[in-house]
Amino acid sequence: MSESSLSILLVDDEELILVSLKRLLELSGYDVDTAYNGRDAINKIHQSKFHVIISDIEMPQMDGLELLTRIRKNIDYSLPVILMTGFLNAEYAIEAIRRGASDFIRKPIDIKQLIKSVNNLLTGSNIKQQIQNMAHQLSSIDVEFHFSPRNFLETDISNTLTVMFQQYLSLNTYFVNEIVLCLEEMLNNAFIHGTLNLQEETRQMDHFNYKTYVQKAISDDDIASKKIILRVKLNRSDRYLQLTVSDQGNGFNYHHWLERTREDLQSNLTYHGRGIGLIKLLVDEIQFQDDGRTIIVRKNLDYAAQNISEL
Amino acid sequence: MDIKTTYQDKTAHMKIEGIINSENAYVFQDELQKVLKSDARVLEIDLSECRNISSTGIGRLLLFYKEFMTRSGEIEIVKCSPTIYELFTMIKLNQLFAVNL
Repeated sequence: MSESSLSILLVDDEELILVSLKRLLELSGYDVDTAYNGRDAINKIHQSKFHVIISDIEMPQMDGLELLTRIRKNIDYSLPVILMTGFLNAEYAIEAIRRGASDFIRKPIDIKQLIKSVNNLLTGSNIKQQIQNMAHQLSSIDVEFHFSPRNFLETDISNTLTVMFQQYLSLNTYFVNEIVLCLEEMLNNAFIHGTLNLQEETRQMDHFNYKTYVQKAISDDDIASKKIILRVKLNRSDRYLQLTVSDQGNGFNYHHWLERTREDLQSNLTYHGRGIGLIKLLVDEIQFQDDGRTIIVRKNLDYAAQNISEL
Repeated sequence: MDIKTTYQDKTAHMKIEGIINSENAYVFQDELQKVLKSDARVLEIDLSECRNISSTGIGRLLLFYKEFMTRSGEIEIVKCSPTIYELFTMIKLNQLFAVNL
């Protein structure tokens, strides 16, 4: 990666640090601008494009953690932000990571360490940008995931697919929120009904007993051998995203549930069938196959495009 | 998901960030149980930072609603994201309690 046009915003309330770090980073080939606090930094970020933000944490008016939060929430969740502090402790580090810091560096600054961190982040950021550029040219995808009950519990499928849909397929937040909510319902049904065949009283257990029950159930080899299959199909020409979830359970009488959701989804306070009702509301098409072991939903991508233009 | 509840007089104010799904709905339920055990008669829920809520989460809220009503309790969604607003309106939860954008 060429460093000639890469710009860094350096934020610190101590002028001496700003001047010396600015000079050292410029000697390494970066364009560097400076700000004295978080508020000043936000204004500059709105005015110019920066590839990396390096910010002190302890500053008047708006500190580095608040600056980080605002960048992640309102500006760019992928812009690399390195935080610096003279008081490195576990609590600070955890809070910084929780808010989305890309790296965390102790003061006094080791310039070699700082430049290494900037280079690593810029390389990662460049690769991500290239993937996003590729994703815009993507016409269709059709991928299938097979989960065993044990790795189903260990994999954060919803969050992983949220990142895939938003960052790599450039689908907008509203669309992704809705499709991921459907996915949650579909996978949850496949797991608790299709795989574990849980009864009502088990589902009503308190969390600890429920977890214990589930862990015991998936240690059974018969249950552990079952699979949950997720297929994600995106077709930009025909303008749809399709999710298919299959399990290897006993199936269910989906005609009955669909009928119920037609009759009275609204104000439905009963425990059963709410998930299917929600799915039905959020997608354009819903279809069951294989006696209810497979559910297919399809959502029109124009909804995603429409919301992009509205935002 | 992150839930913070504050109590003032007889009002509980609950702010939820993230996603309420089948995995973490029990945290939401535990927090609602604390409200039931308190002397709060109004529960204000701020869902402006809540990205979505699954049927399990809605189920927990409805179970709480039923019990809270028997104690003359009142729920209000004081703020929520457009996604949640649309969802709650579609399933007519806004007929059970106030839902504000």
